[in-house]
Amino acid sequence: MTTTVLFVLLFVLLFLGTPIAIALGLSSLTVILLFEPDSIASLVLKFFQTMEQTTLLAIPFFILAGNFLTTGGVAKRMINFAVSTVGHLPGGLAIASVMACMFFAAVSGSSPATVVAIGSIVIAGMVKVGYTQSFATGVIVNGGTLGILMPPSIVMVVYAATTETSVGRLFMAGVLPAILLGVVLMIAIYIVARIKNLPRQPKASWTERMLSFRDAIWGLLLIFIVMGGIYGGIFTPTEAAAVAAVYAFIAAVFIYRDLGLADVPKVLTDSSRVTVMLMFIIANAFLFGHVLTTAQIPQDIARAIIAADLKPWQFLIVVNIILLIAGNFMEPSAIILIVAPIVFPTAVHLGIDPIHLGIIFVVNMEIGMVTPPVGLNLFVASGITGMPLLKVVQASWRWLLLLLAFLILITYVPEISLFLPNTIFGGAVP
Amino acid sequence: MTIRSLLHRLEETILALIMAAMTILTFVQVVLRYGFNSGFLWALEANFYLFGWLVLLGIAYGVRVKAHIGVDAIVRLLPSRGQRWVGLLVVALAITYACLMLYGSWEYIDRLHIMGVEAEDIPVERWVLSLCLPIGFAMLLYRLLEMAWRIATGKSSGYELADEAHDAIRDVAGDENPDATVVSR
Repeated sequence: MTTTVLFVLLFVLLFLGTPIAIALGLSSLTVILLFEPDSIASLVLKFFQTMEQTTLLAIPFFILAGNFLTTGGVAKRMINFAVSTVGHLPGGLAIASVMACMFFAAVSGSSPATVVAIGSIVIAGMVKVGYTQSFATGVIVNGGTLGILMPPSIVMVVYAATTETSVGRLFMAGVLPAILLGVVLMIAIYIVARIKNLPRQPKASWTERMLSFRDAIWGLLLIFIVMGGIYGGIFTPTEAAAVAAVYAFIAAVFIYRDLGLADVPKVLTDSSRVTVMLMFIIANAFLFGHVLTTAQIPQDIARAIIAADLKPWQFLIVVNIILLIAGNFMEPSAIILIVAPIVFPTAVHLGIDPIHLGIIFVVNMEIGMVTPPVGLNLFVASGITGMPLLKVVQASWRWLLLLLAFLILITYVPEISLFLPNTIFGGAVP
Repeated sequence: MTIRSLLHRLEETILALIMAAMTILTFVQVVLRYGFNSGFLWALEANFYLFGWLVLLGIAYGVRVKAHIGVDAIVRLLPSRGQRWVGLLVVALAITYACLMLYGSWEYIDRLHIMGVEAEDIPVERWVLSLCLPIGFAMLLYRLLEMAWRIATGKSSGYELADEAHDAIRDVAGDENPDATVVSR
C-alpha cells in the first residue's frame, strides 16, 4: 500500500512538471504523514543532515573547478593539442574532436558542457574543411557523453553518496572505460573516413606538437591532481575537489588569463546555482530513500527477485532497460538517486560489484543524454549549431548504436571497470 | 538601483561568499595538514553549516533564476490554457511542500532552542546555526507565491522550470547572451 502510494504520487507529480526535488520531497512527506509515526521535524532534520555528508561536499568543489576551466579558451587549447597529434589521419579533425572531448571531460564533470565547449569550436571548423554538418554534430553529441564517464564526474559522486561506495574507486573505475569509449569512437571515425575519403589536416611538426601540449597541459593537470591525490592517499576525494577548485582558479586567472578577477564572483554564483539545484534534489531524494527503507521496499524487491531465481546477467538486463527508459525522461543524477537505492541491495545480493554497477549506471546515463525526448546533449547541440532537433537526432543515432554496443561490453565484462581500482587499491571491498 | 535589485545582488553575493568560504576552508585544511601538521578542529562542522546555509538560501534563489529542473515533456503537449492550469496546480503543490517544510523547520528549531545545546566545535547554540532552515523555506514560499501570481496574471505560461540546454550554453559561453556561441548555421 505504502509502496503504491509513494510511487504513484511520485510519477504523477513528475509528469505534471513538478520540479524533481519537490516531487521527491512531497511524495515522501505525504507517505510519512499518512502511514508512519515520524514527525515532520525529524524529516527536516534528515533533509538537513544531507549536507553533513562530506562526500557530497565534493559536488560544489568539482562544479566550481569545472566552471573556472570550462571556458572557450581552455577548450581551444585542448583542441589545438588534439589536432596537432592526430589531425593528419583520415578524418583527422573529427578524431581530434573526440580526443578533445576526452581531455575536456577530464576537467568538466558534465556532458552538455563538453558538447558546448568543444562543439561550438570544432563543428564549424569541420564544416569549413568539408565535413557535413550532420557528421560533425553526430561526432560531438556522442563524444560529449564522455563528460560524465571520465573522472571527475558529478554523477559518480552522486552514485557514491547514494550507495555509500567509494568515490575514489569509482573515479578510477571510470578511467579505462572512458578511454576505451573514446578509442572506439575514434576507430569508427577512422573507418568511415577511409570509406568516405574524409579530409586530413596538414601534419604538425614535433615543435608544434610540443608547443600545443605545453599550452594545454595546465588544463590537463587538473585530472592528474585529482587522480594522483586520491591514488596517493594524499587527500580524500572531497579535499581533492577543493584543491582542484583552487588550482582551476589559479590556472584560469593567473596562468591562462582567460578570466579576470572581476569574473570570479560570477563563476562563484553560477556554481552555487548548479550546486543548489543538485543538492535540493539530493536532499529530497534522501527523504525518499528514508521512506523506501522504512517501508522495506528495496528488501521486498530483493526478496522477490531472488525468489524468481533471476541470474545476475538477467538482472543486469532488467537494470539496463529500466535505466535506458528513465534516461529518456530525466536528468542523470535524479535517476541515480531514485533507482540506485532500489536495485542496489539486490545487486549486492547477486554478487555484482557495487563499483561495476556504478559504471553501468553511468554508461546508461550517457546514452540517456543522446536519446530524445530529453537527451540534453541533443538540445545543446541543436542550440549551438542552429540545427533543428530532429536533424541532430538523425545525425547522432548511428553513433548511438556504438554506445549501446559499448554498454553491453561494459555490463558483461566487469574487468574493464574493475581492473584499475582493484589493482591500485587492492581487492574488491564491498 | 532599486531596493529589489539591491536585494538580489545581496542574495547572489552571499551565495558566492559562502561558496568561496567552503572552498578556501577545505583547501587550507589540506595545506595545514601537510605543511604544518595541524588543522582547525572546527573546520568539518563549519563546512557542514556553510553548506547547509548555501543550499537552504539557494533554493529560493534557484526559483528566481529558474534553476530547478523537472520533466516538462508531457505538460508541453497541452494547449496553453491547460499548461497554465497545470502550472497553477504545480505551484500550489510546491507551496504545500514549502509550508510543510517551514512548519517542520520551525518545530525543529523550537526543540533545539528548548534544549539550548551548543554545536560541538563552534561556540554558538545549534538553533542559531540551523536558522537557515526556516529562513530558506520561508524565502522559497515567497518566491513560489510570486510565481503563482505571474502564472495567474498570464505573465508566465506555466511552472517555471530550468531550460537546461540554454543554461549549459550560457554557462560555458560565460555570457548572458547564448547566441554568442552560435558559430554556424
